[in-house]
This record gives sequence, C-alpha cells and structure tokens, in this order.
Amino acid sequence: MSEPAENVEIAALVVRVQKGDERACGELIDATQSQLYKFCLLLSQNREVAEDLCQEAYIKALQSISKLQNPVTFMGWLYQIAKNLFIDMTRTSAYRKNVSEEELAEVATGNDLESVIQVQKILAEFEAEDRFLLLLVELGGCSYKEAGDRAGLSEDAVRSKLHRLRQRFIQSYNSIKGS
Amino acid sequence: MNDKHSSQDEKVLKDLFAQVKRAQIEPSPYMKTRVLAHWRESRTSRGLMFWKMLSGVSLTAVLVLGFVSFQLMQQKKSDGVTQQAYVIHIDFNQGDREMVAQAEVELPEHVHFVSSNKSIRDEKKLTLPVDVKALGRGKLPFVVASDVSGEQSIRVRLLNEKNELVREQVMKLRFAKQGSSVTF
Repeated sequence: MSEPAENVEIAALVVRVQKGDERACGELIDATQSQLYKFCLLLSQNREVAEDLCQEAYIKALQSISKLQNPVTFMGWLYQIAKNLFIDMTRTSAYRKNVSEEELAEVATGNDLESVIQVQKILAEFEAEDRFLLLLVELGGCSYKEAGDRAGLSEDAVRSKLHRLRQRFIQSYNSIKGS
Repeated sequence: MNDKHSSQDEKVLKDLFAQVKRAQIEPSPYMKTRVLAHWRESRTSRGLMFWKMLSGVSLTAVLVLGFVSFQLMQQKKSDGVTQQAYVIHIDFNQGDREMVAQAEVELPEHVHFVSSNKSIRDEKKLTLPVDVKALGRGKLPFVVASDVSGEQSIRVRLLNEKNELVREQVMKLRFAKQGSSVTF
C-alpha cells in the first residue's frame, strides 16, 4: 500500500531528525505543527491546553524519536502522544472545556474557520476517546488498522465504532445547520 | 434511499474535515523555538551525561586497579600466614663455616618454634649446634610459626666455640592473616 506524498516527506524528515539533524527538526515542526495543533484544539476543546499539548507532544516525541521504527507512522504516533498527555492533563489539573469562537478567530485565518468552529462544536459533545478516534481517522488520515493500534481496538471494532460516531456526528451537524 | 443518504452524509463529513485540514490554524510562533531549545538542551545534557559517565567509569577503573595493585603489593610483602609452620634457613658464608660453632635464635613475643618436643615449643631463645653437616649444606634450618599477623623480627646470633659473637643478623618476616593468599 502506498503512503500519501505528505507522509513520505514527513518520514524523510523524521529519518534526518533521528540522525540528529537540527535543521530537519525545525522543518518537521513546520510541516506538522498546524495539523497537530488543530488535532489538539479539537481534542481538548481549549486553546491554551492545545498549545501546551502541542509543545509537550513535540518534546516527548523528539526525546524518543530514535525508537520510532516506522517513520511513516510519525503523525499517528504524535497524535497518540498528544492524546495520552491530554488524558493525563484532564486527570491531574482543573481543565476547562470549550473554546470560544473569538478564541478560535485569534488563531485561525482563512475561509475555513467556519468549518473548524462547526467541527469543534460537534466534537464538544463527544467523549475524549471518541473524539480521538474520529480525529485520528478523519483529520489524521490514519487507516482503521493504525487507528485501532493507537486506540487499543481491533480493526473491526474501529470500523463499527466509527460508523456510529459518524452517524452521531452527522446528526449533530444537521441539527446545528437546521437551527 | 438509505444508501444515498449514507453516502451523502459521508461526503458532508469528509468535506467538513477536509476544510478543517485546510484551515490555517497555527500555534504560537514561540512554540517551535521552545521545542527546539528543549531538544538542543536535552541533546547537550545527553552528551554531557555521556562524558560524565565515561569519566565516572574511568575513575572507578583507576580506583579498582589501584586497589588490586595495592592488594597484590601487600600480598607480595607477606612471607607466610599465621598459625602455619615455616622452615627458616640460616645461611652461612665462607667465613662463617670456619668459625661458627653454634647459632642462637631469639624469637619475638608471638612467634614460637614448631617441634614435636613440647619444651622447645615454649622456648623463646634456642641455641642450635652448627655441625659439619649443616656447614656443608651452607644452611641451618629451624621451624617457626606466628600467632599474629604483621612483621616479626627473628634475631640470629652466630657464635664461635668460645661463645663469642661472630655475626648477628635479624630476619624480618611478614605474616598475613590465615585465609589470605601469600606470595613467597
């Protein structure tokens, strides 16, 4: 199975970082920070938490990047690190859910901001684990198998769970649109 | 009809997430700087850790080597272990052979003669006749053992027939505790 070109480019950067190339490290952050930040924002529903998660996830990932055997799976691995950090954070600190539209507008630019706000609103109703699974596949582009590996589920379980989550998501979307 | 709805829903969802993917949402520009600074620092401290470990290992190796050498030197200095019988030889030179008639052996406090004769064992000073046989061999043996570790001095006085002193020598023997290995 061929990998998307974007993943291959990221994998090439990961290999260079594994060899200790600092410039590649900067390029890797440039290439992935927007996606990771959006993932963290939609997962945590909190702008400040997303910022912290993003930073900590990079620090943790770079500390153990030499252990990553398949560089093509870097993004999925990074999302999983961010999700684990988020779960820890919700357990240990007073965490405020919900990011305001004003807050999103401060960090987002372009015409697609409306979509981000809609997705954020819908995902706010989901449990963190469900948000993680949906974001892994829909935003992160992970396969069912990789999502299953990251979420600790079988491929079949991911398929049936995603089916339910998508239905629920669409229902929420339609009701927001209707109102 | 249901399938049509389902594929339409799926398309809506895919489109929505595709727009999210395209959205220009960036974290603070300082985040990258902070992450890189942290990465640089951890690499430097890892490098420092390596050198610290290397110097620690080297220091340990030097200390172990020093300790082992010291132990070997100590062992070399020992001539025997306590509570063990050793044969000591008084060596005669050419001049001694013509003059010496007897040898007076004086032991320090914790050293005693070893003999089947119990009375000899209790003696601290023993006069041994130097016969032709002993002179011919060039040495006169006697057997001692020490009760304590450390250096012990045995005084030997070679006397002529008139009981006059021909030569005096002090033999220094180092005893190690029983169980230690000894290099003679």
